[in-house]
Amino acid sequence: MIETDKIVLAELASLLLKDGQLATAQENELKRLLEKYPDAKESLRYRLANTDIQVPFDLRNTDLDQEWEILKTKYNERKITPNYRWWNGQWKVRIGEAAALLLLFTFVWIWKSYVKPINYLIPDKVYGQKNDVLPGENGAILKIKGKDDINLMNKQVDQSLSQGIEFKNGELLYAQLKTKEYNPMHTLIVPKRSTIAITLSDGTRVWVNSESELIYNANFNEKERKVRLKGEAYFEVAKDAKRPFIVEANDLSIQAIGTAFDINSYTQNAKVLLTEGRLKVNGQEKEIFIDAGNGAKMIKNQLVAFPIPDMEEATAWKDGYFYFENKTMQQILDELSRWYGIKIDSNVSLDKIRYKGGIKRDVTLAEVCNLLKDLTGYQLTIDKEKLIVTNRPKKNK
Amino acid sequence: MLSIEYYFKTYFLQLCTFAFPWVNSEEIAKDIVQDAFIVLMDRPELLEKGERVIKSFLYTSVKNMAMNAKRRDMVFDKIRGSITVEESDNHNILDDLINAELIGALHRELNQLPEGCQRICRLIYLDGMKYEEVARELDVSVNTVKTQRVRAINLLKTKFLNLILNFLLL
Repeated sequence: MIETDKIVLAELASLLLKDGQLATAQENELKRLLEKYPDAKESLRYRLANTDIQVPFDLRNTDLDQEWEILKTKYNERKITPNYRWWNGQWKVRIGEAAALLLLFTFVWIWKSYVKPINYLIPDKVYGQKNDVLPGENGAILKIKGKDDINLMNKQVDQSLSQGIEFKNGELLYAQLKTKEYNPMHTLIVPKRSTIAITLSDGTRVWVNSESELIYNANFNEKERKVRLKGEAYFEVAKDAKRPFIVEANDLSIQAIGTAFDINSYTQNAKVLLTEGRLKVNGQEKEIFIDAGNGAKMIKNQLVAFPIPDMEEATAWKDGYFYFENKTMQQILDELSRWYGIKIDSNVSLDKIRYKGGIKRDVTLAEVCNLLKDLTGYQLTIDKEKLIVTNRPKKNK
Repeated sequence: MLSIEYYFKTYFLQLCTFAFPWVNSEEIAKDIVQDAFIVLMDRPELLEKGERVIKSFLYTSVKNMAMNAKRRDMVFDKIRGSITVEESDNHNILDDLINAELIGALHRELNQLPEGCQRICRLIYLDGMKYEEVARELDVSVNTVKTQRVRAINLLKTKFLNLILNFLLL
């Protein structure tokens, strides 16, 4: 709160600056306030010596009557919000007591009924949430046909797997394959709360996002390099003009020789964003070529190419950032659900506004919520592994 | 008890001036001040507490909203690592307040000049017309021109006379 006497000080100072003098009573009051707030002394001294003042914009362009009309319209159009005045006074105390008691009961109840704790839920002491959720980690499950599953979840140590497949620095490497003949189908499953980077046998690097699957052969054949994707992945394709690299994802088939691109197929219609080189995109009966800086997607059964406004949409996630630029609330929530392994509980209709901003993916959920609360008009409440989305009441400050 | 409309028309410009250094945009500053007034409209009981309390409420609301807007803007620069956000706020609130009050006062002064006064000053000082020419142009007597000029100068007897004349003559 800005104290009222600071405002009196500013009023008197401006009067002195404007007219060059003050009535005695006013002068005494100003002296007293300057003793109380000595910081203002220098400011006043400077302004008395220099008559140039900072006018940030042309005052005459502002029509006060028009601004007043805008305000009235804004006020009337605003959604009806509940009246908070009854919160004043003793109601507040009563409700506070009741809430505290309820909280106590809830804690006892949770404590008693908590049979199977989830290890990524932690208490929150900073943001006032009921609990906090740790971010996802590096990891995946590798299925090789005819073999036992290999669990790579949260593995810290390097390890040689079968047939010269290696797990090194958190990445899966096929580059040193020992055999050409033994060539079963591999399925890399990346569950929620995980992500992994792999290097395929041809040297192509793939970053696979949460809740995704990549299916490929340990060795590619001589004609083509073909993989299948569910979910999202970013590819940096190793150059090999003789063997095109083909990704099949939902309704799209993408053919590359040596490029870098992101494919997102979480929804029915897959979307490819090309950051380097050139791509051939096949969608149903049509095929198109796109160049770096463009994307392609099926829209109403038509394969459509479009420019990408910002490349970071394609690369931010693999570099460890959430990127909210130009995304709707629904898209943001879906991303959170995949990375924090939480369920979204939303009974409000989400607006179609597109937001701006971003945050690192290695922070806890409560920190992200804290940012989103500022960024959007929603209240985000964490309740164990559930994220509850509600409209935020207009709060009086 | 003064109306919201009075507070709005009196303080809108100086609150915008106050918000500006945080957001660096005339439009955003205006939006923020509008929002602060919407909050005030939701709390009509504040109106009874007098002008100083309302001013304090408005300045505080604008300050908080402007700082939030600035923080929101910074988050994105922060993830790109281009700048480091200093959580401490290095604005000198008192200096900003004095500047805002001064601009508000000057603007009110300017608005108090009657339309006729403003036009006559403009013709005399900007177009360098003689009194007779002005009188002909505006279809008034020479005496009226003279009185209006004196009136304007009397009204503008402030240290910032030049500044206000500049506003007029732009």
